[in-house]
Amino acid sequence: MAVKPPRVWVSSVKPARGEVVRVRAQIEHLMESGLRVDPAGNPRPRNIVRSFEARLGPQLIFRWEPGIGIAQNPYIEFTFLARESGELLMLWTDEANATQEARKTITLS
Amino acid sequence: MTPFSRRHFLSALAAGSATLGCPALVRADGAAGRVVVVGGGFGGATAARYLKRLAPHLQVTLVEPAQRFHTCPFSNLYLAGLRSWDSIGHGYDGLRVAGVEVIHAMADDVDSARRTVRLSTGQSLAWDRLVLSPGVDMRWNALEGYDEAAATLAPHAWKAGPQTQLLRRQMEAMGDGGTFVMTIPDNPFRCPPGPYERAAMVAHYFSRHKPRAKILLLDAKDNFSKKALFLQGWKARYGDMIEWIGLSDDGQVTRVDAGQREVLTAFGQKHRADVLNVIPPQKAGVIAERAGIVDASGWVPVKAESFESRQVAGIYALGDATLAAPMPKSAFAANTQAKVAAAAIVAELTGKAAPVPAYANTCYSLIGPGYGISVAGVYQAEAGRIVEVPGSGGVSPLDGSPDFRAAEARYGDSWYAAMTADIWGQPG
Repeated sequence: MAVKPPRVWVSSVKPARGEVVRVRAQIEHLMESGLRVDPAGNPRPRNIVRSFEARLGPQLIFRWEPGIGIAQNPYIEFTFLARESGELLMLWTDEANATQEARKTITLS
Repeated sequence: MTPFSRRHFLSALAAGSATLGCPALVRADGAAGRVVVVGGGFGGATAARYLKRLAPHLQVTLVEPAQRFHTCPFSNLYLAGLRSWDSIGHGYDGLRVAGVEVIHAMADDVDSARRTVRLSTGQSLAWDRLVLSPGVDMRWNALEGYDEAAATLAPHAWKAGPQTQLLRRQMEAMGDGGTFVMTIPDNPFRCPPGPYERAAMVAHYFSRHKPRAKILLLDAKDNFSKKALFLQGWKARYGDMIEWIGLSDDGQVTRVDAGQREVLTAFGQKHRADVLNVIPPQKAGVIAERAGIVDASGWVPVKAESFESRQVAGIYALGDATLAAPMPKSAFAANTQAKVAAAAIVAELTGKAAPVPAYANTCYSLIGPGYGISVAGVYQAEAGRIVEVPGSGGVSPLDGSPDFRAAEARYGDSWYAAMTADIWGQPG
């Protein structure tokens, strides 16, 4: 089954300079903790999202390292101060090095 | 559709009727017995009519509560003001003349062991074969806060009837500059292009009467039928009036407050509406559940060759209630499924080999007067599954010429006239 793309909501893609922009983002990911076993009793190999990064242009504005306590389909909400226009890039990387990304263009009004 | 696929389709149809045998042979064999058909819409009324046509000695009874059946197809044109309410209503005199017994009642329960169906009038009908074409019912409260009471404030208008007229009255009462919000469910649901045609038809009405109005579509999915064509058509005819928000952009609505005309999305965003049109998740019409032919999905699994239920022998199901993917839940699909089921039933009752089915579908959608688009498909049964015939079907070209769009709008009108005459018209 195809994985659905990340879901992202941004409070404003055309913020005023200095405005606080709120971002809500979620991906579909099993977040396999490594603590579970399959029906045969073998451990299911651990694979969680190890890193989430948000950049505005080249500038890193937010980084998160979810642990195994985070449930499947991890959701993250953060804010940043709108100082310049640019492309907001969100990147999720799991322990199998599979990535998902989402982009929003932020333009100062 | 390519010329190749059309030929293929016609030859498949011809093969189907050859296997079926001509009506004279059926009469000689005396296809006796009684078939009860529940639901007088595109599936059921077609089945009743074609059963009688293929086997005139068969007793065919159609059970439908409405004296006049208003069609979902073209009900969006009624919302736009392009069609009168009466013009999308059809009575059952044509079927009666064709020899079908029509009973205006609800079917309340089915006893599949004793082969009877109980009606709201208290009457019980015995059947040798039962055809259920119940359409959809809403899954009340599947969307938090959206139940039958909420639908009187925020209509779904997804069954043509009082709900459709209520939505139209709300559009008329809305002030210029108001916001029309529509929430759209994930697949599967009745009429995949329907919400997007409705957006265009509502925009047509607003562009003439309330040019400052906005239309906001909150969708629980990222892709939809004829998406590129709709986005292009909306822009061409209505500029920025229609805004569509898909799943990736937090378009999924999780809660409805019909009293406040407010909806809440998965990420907690509130949208306020002046007119709120909630198209909720759906399931097969409730009589299908009573008959025991529905599976855990809420829909009816059917045999690809005949549309007989996979769960109960002797019961056939048609149209929107069925799991017939890749065929969409559309009127045209129900019509061709009904013809196949009618042929299969007559073959079975006369001890003939089952006919080879051929299925077709076209969905026309209107963006505005003189601007139509379409999607078409041809299907066959293969190893117990319905599959699209390779190379058949297709959608209207993107960037089609105005002449092309105008022609498709006319084809849509002709489709409606031909289809309703085939089903409800006086026998010719």
